[in-house]
Amino acid sequence: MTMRISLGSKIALYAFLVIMVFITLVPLIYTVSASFKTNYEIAAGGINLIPEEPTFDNYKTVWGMSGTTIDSRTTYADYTFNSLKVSLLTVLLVVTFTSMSAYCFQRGNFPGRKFLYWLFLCTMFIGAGTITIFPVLQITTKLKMNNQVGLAIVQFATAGASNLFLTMGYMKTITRDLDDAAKIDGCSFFATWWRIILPLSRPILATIALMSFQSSWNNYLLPNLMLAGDQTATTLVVAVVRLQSSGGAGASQYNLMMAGTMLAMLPMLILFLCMNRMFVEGITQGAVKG
Amino acid sequence: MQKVEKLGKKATIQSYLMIAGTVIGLIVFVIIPLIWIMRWCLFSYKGYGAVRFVGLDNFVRVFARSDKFWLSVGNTFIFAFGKLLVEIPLALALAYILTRKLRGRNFFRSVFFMPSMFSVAVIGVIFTYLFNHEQGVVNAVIKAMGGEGVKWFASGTTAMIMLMIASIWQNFGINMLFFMTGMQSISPEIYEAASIDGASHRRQFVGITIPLLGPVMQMVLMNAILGSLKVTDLVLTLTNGKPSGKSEVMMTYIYKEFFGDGGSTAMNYGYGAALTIVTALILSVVTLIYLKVTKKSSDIY
Amino acid sequence: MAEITLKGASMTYPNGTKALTSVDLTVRDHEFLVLLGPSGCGKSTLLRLVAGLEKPTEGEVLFDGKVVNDLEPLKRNVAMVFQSFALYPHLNVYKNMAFPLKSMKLKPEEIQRRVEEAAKILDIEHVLNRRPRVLSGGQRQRVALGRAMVREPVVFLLDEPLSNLDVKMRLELRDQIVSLHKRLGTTFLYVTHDQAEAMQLGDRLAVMDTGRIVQIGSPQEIYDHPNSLYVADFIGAPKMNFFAALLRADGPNWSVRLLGREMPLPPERIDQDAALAPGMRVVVGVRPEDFALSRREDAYAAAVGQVMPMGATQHVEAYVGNQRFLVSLNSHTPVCEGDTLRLEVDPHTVHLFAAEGGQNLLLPPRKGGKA
Repeated sequence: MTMRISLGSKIALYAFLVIMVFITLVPLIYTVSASFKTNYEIAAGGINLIPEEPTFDNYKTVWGMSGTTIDSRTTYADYTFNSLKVSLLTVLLVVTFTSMSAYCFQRGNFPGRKFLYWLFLCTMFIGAGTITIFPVLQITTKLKMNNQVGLAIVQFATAGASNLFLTMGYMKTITRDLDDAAKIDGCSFFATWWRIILPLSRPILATIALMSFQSSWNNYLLPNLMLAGDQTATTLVVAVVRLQSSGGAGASQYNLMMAGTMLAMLPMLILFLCMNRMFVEGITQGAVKG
Repeated sequence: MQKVEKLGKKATIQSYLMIAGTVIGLIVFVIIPLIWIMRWCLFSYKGYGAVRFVGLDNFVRVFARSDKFWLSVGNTFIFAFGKLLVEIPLALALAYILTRKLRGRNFFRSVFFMPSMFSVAVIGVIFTYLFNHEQGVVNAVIKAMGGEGVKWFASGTTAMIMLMIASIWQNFGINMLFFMTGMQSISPEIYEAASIDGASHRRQFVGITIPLLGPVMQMVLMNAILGSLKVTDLVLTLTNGKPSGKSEVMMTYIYKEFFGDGGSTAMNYGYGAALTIVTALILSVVTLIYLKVTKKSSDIY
Repeated sequence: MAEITLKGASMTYPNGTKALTSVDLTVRDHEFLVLLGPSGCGKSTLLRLVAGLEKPTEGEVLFDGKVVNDLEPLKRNVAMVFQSFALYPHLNVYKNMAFPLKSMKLKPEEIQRRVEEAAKILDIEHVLNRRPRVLSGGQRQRVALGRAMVREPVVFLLDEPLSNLDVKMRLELRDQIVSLHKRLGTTFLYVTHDQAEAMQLGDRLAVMDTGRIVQIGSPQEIYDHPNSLYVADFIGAPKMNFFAALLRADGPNWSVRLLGREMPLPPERIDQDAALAPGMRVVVGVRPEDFALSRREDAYAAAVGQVMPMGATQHVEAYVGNQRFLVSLNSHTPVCEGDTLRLEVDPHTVHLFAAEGGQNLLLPPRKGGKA
């Protein structure tokens, strides 16, 4: 910018930014802090950031703790792995099918292509908001899909078409000469995808994988409902929320609750720190494409 | 000219197989549920017993005898309006500031974006703690400054404020990012020309940035409005409608209608479906009004 | 090695564009045939039909007499080299070249043997481990050639492979392609819009215009006797000079007025079947190199405009009255702007085209046609 910002304004701006950073981080800082405090100290209130007697006990407790009174063998450790399993499976489904479908829509030419594409376009806005969640549950129950694998499938199916469009946009930049060369070199339609297009789509698929993983990990409503029947299958976020209302071990024990939320948030935090840029790109690309 | 070759037989079969997964997923979990809703809204069924065709009775009930529902609708709009009033200008301001070449720009951008990484439900839990009357930080700070702690969960107003704060905290970063993307496509030369003409920062912002941001703004705003109207997880985990339904929103009302609320609510498929449709209609109407009103801004480009 | 025939092949796209109209062509076994024409004339489409990338809307494609319309490219055993090289970016050179062989399910030893042999011939052994993006244009095209070679195909299809290269690379690779053809003996079908390239490379040229082949022949044949205005204009650099004129008859003799003088047309060149009519509007074509310096009385007196030295020759802009034309002279002839040149033209080297329709109205000069 060629405009010179006066020193005064500059200071004001930075001050504003710093205040905003502060506001942004405060909730997290206090969460971290509380997770290391004893319940006694928390109950006392106050604005102490640094615990007087910092302790890892909360974490140890939560990690080994069962989330419900029904089944005391499944612990938060298990819930974490459950989340991992479900999210990884979701990512696998999303990446595979999105990439295949994007390829077919973008490069293929078969009867009904335009119709299906239009269909995706229209339903893009629906997903599994509360709008359709009850019927979805009805269906999954009828199909006996109320388990982790079923959850992954539903999460994939209701992810909306934005992943599809993103991938299609990216595939547009892959020159069709490559398809021709591959055809001459003996590739069928599918083989071209498998051997050429898929490897070349890695960047966008990485972004989609990241976003889908995050979305699945953080998901509350759907896992809560679908996995309700099997206490051992619960995902982490759902279990952490249950700490709040379970009346048993976690009720109003904010120290434990905060340790639990930290468990749920930590993977996302790590992911964020490592792949910050990819997330930003993924979201802004989605924005530009609408 | 795009040479569109018709695929041979083998390739056509392969394409069908390849999109089968996505298409089946779409049909089973998106389209059929929609059909389900449209079918059941005309019936009455309590999950057991008889299924009766009741025509538009469910809708009559929605419009005539659902005070609690319409209260929740009102809450939803209050929530959305109040929250966006703060969040959008904030996101705009931050985006504007951070599009300049400031030192540490990436750092600030990352920090502001961070809250959106976490689960909405988890954030609800965190804020339950933060706003706790006795133990939470917010009241501790207020008390430290000489005031009296507020019983955040005790009144409808304060509950709504909590929700708004939590939602703003989580979402301002993403909207800021969207705005930044839009702003980056505005050629810096326009700003240069304006500053040569002596326009102050504020003038530039109002006169250049906002108008040229038009199309982006329109999309981002619509996205934000609809997202806010559809808020669910946050309310469920933070206030769950307390106190006594004063912070209930549309979506949580429907959710409870279908799934019960701890205690047993007499559930009715038909009524729930009708509620769903009405809500969807409300959202569509909002979208249409919005699009009409903002048509001018997207014509600028 | 194969003979490729197109019978009545037409290609119409779904949006109505007619790329090819009823094309008949036979590419002889072992021959190097060049498809020449401007953008949009259908040459690439024709190539793609032979490749099997597209199917003709009408007509047949035959390999050694067998109809292959429905046969996929791999089964036809054709290899193709693209203008944009179309190398797989995520694979190194070795894997690029091995790619088709994997599809053919060859044994790894066989694959290795073929790739290494081709790499040796094309002098790319040292880059086998590298990815395409770090290679120069010339190297990339050689990899593309290698990828085609290893398949030991029955025909090589090349779609303007040199257009993306700089001039020096282009000439180098041109030679390499020619020597490749000599060495392998495979049928080559080559597409280009560059007439100089076509002249150098081809055993035969097929000149195309808007979806049709308008003339086929050896480069020399086509150069010596273009059968239409279109071909005459296309072949030869610098371009042929065209002069509008009227055909005159004087008894059994025909003549035209060229540059102010009457030029009688040699009777042995008159095509008795051609529809000649007195007063007919025609176009006289004279190549710049067919103008010669003259000491004759009735030579054309031309004023010299710009002189453009071209190394061995010089192109001289000449004017007779308002008529501007180009003359190609030996560069040792002293010529300057403003000079007057005395020029003559041998009627045996002149071309005559109908103004309507453009066809060549004269018979080719016999070998040793005398001035």
